[in-house]
Amino acid sequence: MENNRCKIKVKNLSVWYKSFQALREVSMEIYPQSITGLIGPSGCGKSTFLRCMNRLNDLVASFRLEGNIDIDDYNIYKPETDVVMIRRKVGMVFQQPNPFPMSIFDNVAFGVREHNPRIKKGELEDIVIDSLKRANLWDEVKDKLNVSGLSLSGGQQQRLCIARVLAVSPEIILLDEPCSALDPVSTAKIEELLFHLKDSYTVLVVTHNLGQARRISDYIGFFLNGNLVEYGKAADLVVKPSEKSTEDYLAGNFG
Amino acid sequence: MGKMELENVSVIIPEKASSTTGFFTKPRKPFKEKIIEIILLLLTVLSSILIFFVMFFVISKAIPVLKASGFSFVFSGGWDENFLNAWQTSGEQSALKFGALPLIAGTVLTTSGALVFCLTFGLGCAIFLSEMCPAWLRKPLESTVRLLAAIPSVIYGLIGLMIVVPFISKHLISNELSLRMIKICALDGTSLLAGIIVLSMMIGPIFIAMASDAIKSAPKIYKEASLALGLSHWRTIVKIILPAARNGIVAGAILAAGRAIGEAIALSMVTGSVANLPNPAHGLVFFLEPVRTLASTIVDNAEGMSVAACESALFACGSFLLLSCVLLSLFSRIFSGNLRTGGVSDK
Repeated sequence: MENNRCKIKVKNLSVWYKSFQALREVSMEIYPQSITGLIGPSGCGKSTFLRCMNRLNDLVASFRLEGNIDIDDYNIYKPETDVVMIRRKVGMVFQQPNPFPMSIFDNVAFGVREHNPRIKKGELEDIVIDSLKRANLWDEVKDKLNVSGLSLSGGQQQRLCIARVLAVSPEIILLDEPCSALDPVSTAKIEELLFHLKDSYTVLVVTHNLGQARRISDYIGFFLNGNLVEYGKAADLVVKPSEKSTEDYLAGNFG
Repeated sequence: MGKMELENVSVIIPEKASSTTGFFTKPRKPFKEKIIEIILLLLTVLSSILIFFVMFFVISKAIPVLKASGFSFVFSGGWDENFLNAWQTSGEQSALKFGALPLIAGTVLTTSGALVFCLTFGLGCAIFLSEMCPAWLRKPLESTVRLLAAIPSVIYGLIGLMIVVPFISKHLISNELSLRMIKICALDGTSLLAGIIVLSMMIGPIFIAMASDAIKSAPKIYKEASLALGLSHWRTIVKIILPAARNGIVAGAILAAGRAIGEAIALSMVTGSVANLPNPAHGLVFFLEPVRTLASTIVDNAEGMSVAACESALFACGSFLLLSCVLLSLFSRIFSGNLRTGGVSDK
């Protein structure tokens, strides 16, 4: 699609939960330094697809997968893969803001301390401050780093979760409907933040909100019933979808 | 026409507002609901009154001995001699002096020993059951644990008497050792150690069931967030899941401790039923010495009830048991209050 080298290459990905097939032969190439939006109605498989990228689906006992997901040309479903290393490279932000019940500082420092237990105090502080700044949260929390992360507003909590991910310096960031629990102002702040992040990361966003997909995505993939119906540059797909079902979805005929 | 209607309305409105059946007035409670509410209230009041009555009764019965003994009830020994003396002199003032230190120590030692087992092995079991156990094995294991928690304590006492006590006397107590100790106490296998083992078997399943429930109900969103940050499953358990489940784990430990403190029969079967204060200076023999707990004492010495002094002494033991229950429940209050914020203070 682009001469840009792809970061994630998904090939013939099929996923089952018990006998239910959640994804059918999905193939997709995801490019670095861009935002890829995944849209589609509820239950279409977009969140399942996202959770395959960091192997969080491994938690589900009945989960089964066929096909390949190559990140930087490495198939992450190879049996000898260390999932911990994958998840350090692929960060994730969830639908419900979920800061840990600890102070704002500790929330951001948590992953860093775990991965590098002997880190020096000053270094750790630098990382925390830098992450909070990049998550556009620093100005709001700089005077209360020792306050519980749970005392923040929903939008601030979500940005804290983004800061927590940024602190462990991933290369890919997955966001699973990051704004669906937030008000419009908080949503706008997060969208703006994502826009800045794409310079340094590969960003994948699952969203229910078509307007959001349009505003922030460089590429959009439309899922329906486990199939990737259409995938392409956001501008093209929104203006001139080539599939009838995409057109119907974009027109709001179903959702 | 229009004017007529308006007049009608203006007449009706004040009437409606003052009537008891207006749109915004609360509907009157049906008679049946009122009766049920009153009955429930009475039952609640009655049960709290009963609790206070029990406390009042136990403590008032205990007062003669507690008054005569003072602090020496807690800080001195000699219970068995005191009891015999009171039994024989039946009711002289001097016979009201009792020293329950060995009993209190026996209770504290058996309970805390069993809690140590619980919090190590039990917590390990709970973690395995709730986080690591393969799905096909979980159900049978869980039902086994729940079944074990429901077994009557006397059965555990019997197992202790048939298996644990003979094992200790055969493998841990040599002839020379019992000869050396003969002046202090008889070592026949009934011991503090046997008490701790039997008590652990008894309260372990309760603790495991409660702790694994607590671990299972730790918020999944924290677990996912931690795993997604690149923590291993084990580190996630240690750093995120256990702290989130701490409240329930502590509650399980407190419940287990409550059952351990109040246990009478099983312990009286396996601990030797001697008001002996084990001496740490004896080294590991400490654990092989017989003891007796407050609750077992009440059972074992119950035949002395006919003598007022003995009765009062046993009620004194009972009042200490009640006190420990109150302390445990206060402790759980304080602890759960502290943890509601997840250990982080919101200033």
